[in-house]
Amino acid sequence: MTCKPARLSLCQWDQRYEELYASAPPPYPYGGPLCTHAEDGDQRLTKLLFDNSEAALRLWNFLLSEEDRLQSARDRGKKLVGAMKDLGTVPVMAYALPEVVAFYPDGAWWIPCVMELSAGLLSIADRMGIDETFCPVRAMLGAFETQAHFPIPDLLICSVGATCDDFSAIAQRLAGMGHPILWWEIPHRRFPEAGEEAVTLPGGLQAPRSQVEVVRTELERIKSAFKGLAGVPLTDEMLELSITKTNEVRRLLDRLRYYAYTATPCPLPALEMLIAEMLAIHFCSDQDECVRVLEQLVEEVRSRVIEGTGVLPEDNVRVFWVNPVADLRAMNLLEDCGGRLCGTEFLFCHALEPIPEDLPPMEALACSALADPMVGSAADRAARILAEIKRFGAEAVAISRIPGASHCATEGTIIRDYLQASMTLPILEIEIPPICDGMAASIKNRLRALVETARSQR
Amino acid sequence: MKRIIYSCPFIPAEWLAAHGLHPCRILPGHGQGHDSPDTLAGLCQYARLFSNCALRESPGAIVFSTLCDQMRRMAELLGRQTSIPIFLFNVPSTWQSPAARQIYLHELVRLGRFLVTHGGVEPKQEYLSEVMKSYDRKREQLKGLRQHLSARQFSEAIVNFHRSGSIETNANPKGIEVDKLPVALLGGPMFADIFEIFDLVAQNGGDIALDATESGERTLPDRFNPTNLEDNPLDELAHAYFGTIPDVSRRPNTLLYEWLDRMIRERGIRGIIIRYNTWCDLWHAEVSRLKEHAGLPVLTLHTENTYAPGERLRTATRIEAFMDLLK
Repeated sequence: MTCKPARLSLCQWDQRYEELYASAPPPYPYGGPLCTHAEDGDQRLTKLLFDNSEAALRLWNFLLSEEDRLQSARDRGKKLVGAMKDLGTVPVMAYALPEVVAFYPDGAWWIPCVMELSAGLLSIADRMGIDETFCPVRAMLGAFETQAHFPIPDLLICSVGATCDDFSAIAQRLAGMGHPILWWEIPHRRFPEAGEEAVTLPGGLQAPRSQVEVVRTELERIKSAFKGLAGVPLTDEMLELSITKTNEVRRLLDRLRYYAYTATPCPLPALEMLIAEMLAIHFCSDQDECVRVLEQLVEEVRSRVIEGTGVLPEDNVRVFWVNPVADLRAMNLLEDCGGRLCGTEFLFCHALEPIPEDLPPMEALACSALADPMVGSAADRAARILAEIKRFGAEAVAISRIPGASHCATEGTIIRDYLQASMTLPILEIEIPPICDGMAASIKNRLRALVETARSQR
Repeated sequence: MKRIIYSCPFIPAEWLAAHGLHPCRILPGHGQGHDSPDTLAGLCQYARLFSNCALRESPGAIVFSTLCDQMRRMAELLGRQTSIPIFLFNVPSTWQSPAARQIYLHELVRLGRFLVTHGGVEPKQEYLSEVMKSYDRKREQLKGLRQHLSARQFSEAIVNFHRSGSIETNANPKGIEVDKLPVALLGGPMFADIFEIFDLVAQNGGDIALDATESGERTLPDRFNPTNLEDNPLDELAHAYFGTIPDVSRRPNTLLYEWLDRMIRERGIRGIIIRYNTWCDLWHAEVSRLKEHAGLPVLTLHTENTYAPGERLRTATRIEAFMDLLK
């Protein structure tokens, strides 16, 4: 730990940057003051508050330099894979091959927020008939159309079946634009019936052996496609090594989550936790560097916990957050209203669970893919959320709705009902648009009400 | 006989009937109450009204499918509010791989077990084969009616067949129609009370020569192969339903475009009316591509309730303008 933990504005960070790196730049190649990203178009940064640690700066720089990293990989002759929707499985296979780099074009859903709509991606989607009744992931179409936010992948792989209709429809539209897609089936996860062999998945859920086998077979098709792409076979040994590295990332995140969500005062802001957790799905295009970024962050947070310091008042209410937010600023708003993050379920909790290392690798990956919260019932999600609420000692729950998302129409109700039947914590369901400034007053009012209710129950 | 209520075209009526149950594929209508589940923001009205309607049918069981995310999730929501047995059939989105077909076959077997648990009888192969032949004959008879009935009558006959398993032929044969502009009606499932669209088209000099909605002829499966039907009827059933029905939900959805191209040619279609329900992402997203692909004038109707106050007039005006454009 280098100084007293605090949340800084972009301007304050720039001053701090000058002080920290006056004599030498940061010891990694993508370093620089955060303002450079804002100058490049990431205007949302000017409205956010950031953690003041060097580890957090590295995290942000790592995230915001991904486009350069992908372009550099392409320039060096590496093959780019655009994995879509599965959030955490296909990249593990891709990174087993040294000449392949995977990323999620889905990540474009944050571009309208980060660039404050200046990139025009949603307008392009509008023109393609994909309007605001769809989830903000529709920005991905604009990103493919403009080719300005990531290199067009050499291979696109999309999971379909038990996924949200928004993504399935948008991906099909992408295919209609002339981007061939390798579709693979992820079945709706169900509980094993009488007489069916059951398999326990990462996270503790159960599925029938037959479903694991189906997914494994589907992943074998992807494995064949990788061989065609990379020109070398993807062996079990290579997969095992990639799984081990992936699990290292997941273990680091588990430690980070434990420190950040259990310590008082809160040692790391919600925004940085959101960004750190996102690294789990594809390592921000560099598996090894991802480990180093997380190691530094974990060490920073551990130091703060030992010192008993944090970024928020000690009595901030511990809020468990469900679903990713389309506007990053919502994480700041939570803290402005007297809350703090105390557990999350951002729709990729399966990517935070270690992949079994005692199973054949393809079977292990199939189990991991089937543990996706999106492919099962909302009650499964709710049960897992409840377990995490208990683990981290949350005092309130915020379920953020994703505008237009097909799953949000029903699952919020089911999750809320399930939680209310098992506990007495206050629950808030709230919609967060890609830019929430116009609704900030209303969102803050509702978050304050949640926080006050939780406080009154102490 | 217990009725099994469903709406998904990929659930074979033959399979339900062979278990000694009454397959009843329904179309919900508006004005059927808002009992359950509650109206939720962003909830597909079709999914909600189907649930309401299904509950009112006093069913032995309700079968949902994963054809779309909203119906998949509605199965769970309704399951928490009723004691009526609910089965969620996993229809794969992909269809070109052996694994997808295997999932579908496995789901048929699982549905069979569910039906037996809820009053059905496991069918012998010969009996399944007989039931399939019977349905195959009826569907051919049904398709033959198109030449003799008005567009609306034909589409309603299909709906009635799905609901009852029988063909009602008491409709008055249509007269000779000359100079009617053939148009296609394309999209998701209809509601029971919006078939007036057919009349509106007819009143403006058109004829819906192709009902390509989910409840129309698009989702009638291919004829069964007689040899396969005797040797392995379940496999043939899976082939006819899973292998041949073109739908927007399939990935890739090339079958839909191939089928549409063929039908447009065969029927001399001059314009397309695409109708989908609000929050139906699958059809909504496809509209622009269909417009580009078809190369024909396209009218899009995407209303919550085509015949709600104000909506009826709006729909009528738009259809009138569209037909004028075609002329």
